[in-house]
Amino acid sequence: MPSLVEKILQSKQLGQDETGVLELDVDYFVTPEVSIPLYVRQLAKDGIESLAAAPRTLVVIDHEVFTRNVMASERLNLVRDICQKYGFTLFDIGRSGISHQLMPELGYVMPGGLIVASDTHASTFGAFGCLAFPVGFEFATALVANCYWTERPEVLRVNLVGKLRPGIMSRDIATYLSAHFADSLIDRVVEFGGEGWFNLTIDERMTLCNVLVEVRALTAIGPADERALEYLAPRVSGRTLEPITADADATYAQTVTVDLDDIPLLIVLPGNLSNVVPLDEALDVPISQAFIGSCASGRMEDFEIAGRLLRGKKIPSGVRLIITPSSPEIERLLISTGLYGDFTAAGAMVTPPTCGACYGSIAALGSKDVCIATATRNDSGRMGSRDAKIYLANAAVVAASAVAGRIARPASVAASNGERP
Amino acid sequence: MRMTGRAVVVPGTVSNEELLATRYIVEGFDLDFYADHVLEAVVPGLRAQVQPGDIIIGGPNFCSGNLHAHGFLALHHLQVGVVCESMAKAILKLAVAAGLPILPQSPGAARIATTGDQVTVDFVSGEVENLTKGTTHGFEPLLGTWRNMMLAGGGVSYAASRSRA
Repeated sequence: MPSLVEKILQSKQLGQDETGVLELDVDYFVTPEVSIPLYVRQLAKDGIESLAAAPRTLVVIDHEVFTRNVMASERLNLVRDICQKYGFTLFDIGRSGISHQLMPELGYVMPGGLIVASDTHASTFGAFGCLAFPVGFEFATALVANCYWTERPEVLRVNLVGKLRPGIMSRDIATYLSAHFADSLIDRVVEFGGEGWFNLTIDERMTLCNVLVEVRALTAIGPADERALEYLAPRVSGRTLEPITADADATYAQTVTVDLDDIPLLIVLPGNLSNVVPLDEALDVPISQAFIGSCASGRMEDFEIAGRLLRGKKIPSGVRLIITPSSPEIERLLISTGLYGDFTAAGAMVTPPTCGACYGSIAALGSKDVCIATATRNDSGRMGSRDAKIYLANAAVVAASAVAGRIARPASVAASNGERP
Repeated sequence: MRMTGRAVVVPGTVSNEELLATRYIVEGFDLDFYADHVLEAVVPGLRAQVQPGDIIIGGPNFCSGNLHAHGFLALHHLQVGVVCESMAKAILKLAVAAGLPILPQSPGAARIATTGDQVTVDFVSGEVENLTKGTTHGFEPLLGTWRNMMLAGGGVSYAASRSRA
């Protein structure tokens, strides 16, 4: 009878307090570099010099990969010193990518596993049947405790049925769910299932699991099938991989069914993630910057469709297009497939893997800028000036808009390219 | 755990980004630096306006969005407490881990005081007294592991005390 989430909780449970708070065993503790000095300062305050969790603690430099001044360099050197002192595994610049992409690629994400990660979008690991709890400062607590405390979460089952219409991407599914099931997502784990889930590619599943935490879902997960195991097999150094799925009669706090055929092209208007409208309601808004990347939508599914729209085109004067692959593996794929050349020939700037542009650490928006992006958030000030406007859409819409210099339908750009929309 | 001080009311929805912008988090790792900027998006110059013991009274879904505790650590550093109408569980957990005294489920809290009122908050019983208006209100306090964590001064201290016990 257990759900997928419940199966993992049961297999990881170490204890429970009088109010029902669970004590859970953790496979890996993952954190970006920006937080670790703060955590370690707290450890030092309590006189903690060593940690049992250290061998399973992974520190990824993915936010501030460009050391723009000496202070930034000192900060990264501090991170390096901390990793050496405590015995954490460090993924340093040149060998790191956005942690939510890097960890599955490097074989740290296993079906049935449990990961505690100090970054919002670690829910991405759910694409592989791994229960990942995105946390904040509790990360330091978990490191010291060598476990994770949480209430038993309610689980929302989302059955996906049908097939996406041409031109609709997994980002649209996530945006659709954010808008239509906002109240049902709050403080719950989203467990995907149904034929629609199994029809999705790995990239699509990762995007889907990534986005919903932004509208207050605790995390997201879906069953690991043969497709997931095939992706992971060459990455996990011979460890045994087994499919994991919910029992057929599993019970949930709520179950909803989403017909993928019903999902249109969507766009999120500036301000917050609940401002979702059909793309047609925002067409022709002039833009000054476009961004394709981030842990939400910086994978090959995004770049391949962007490449089809950008190949042979020139981004108009007055518009910048920033492209950021999520990992070195994806960066190498951009080069080997020729997409890197297509993007730069069109006038895009391709950056190394980093979270940077998503939160305005690079290519920050000025007060008059209007940006369309595949970034994770669009609240005021997220990508730079609080007066800048940020629209969020799938990679095809962003690429088409970059070419048009205004928010545009991918079909209109594809048609002018001589391609079938 | 009781605190008495001046109320600073921030009604409406305040996001985690407004609690402390991500750009400050990546620019520095000093609590004094964070405290200089905490809540500045909704209360410019907050730091100069608060004293230890003061209470930030927030609205619904307080500090939702990014799972960043830096703003909560900054509030803890300023030795203020928080009473808010509601808060996502995931956000609450990081506020508690930061050691912030908090009553996170206090419906109508933003209407029981105006900025400048003197208030006393008992974070164990959940009682909030508005000394200026002469009113008393009862809210649901934290229990179990979360209360113990708050009383220990944060998650790390709590976890360390457990491992030493």
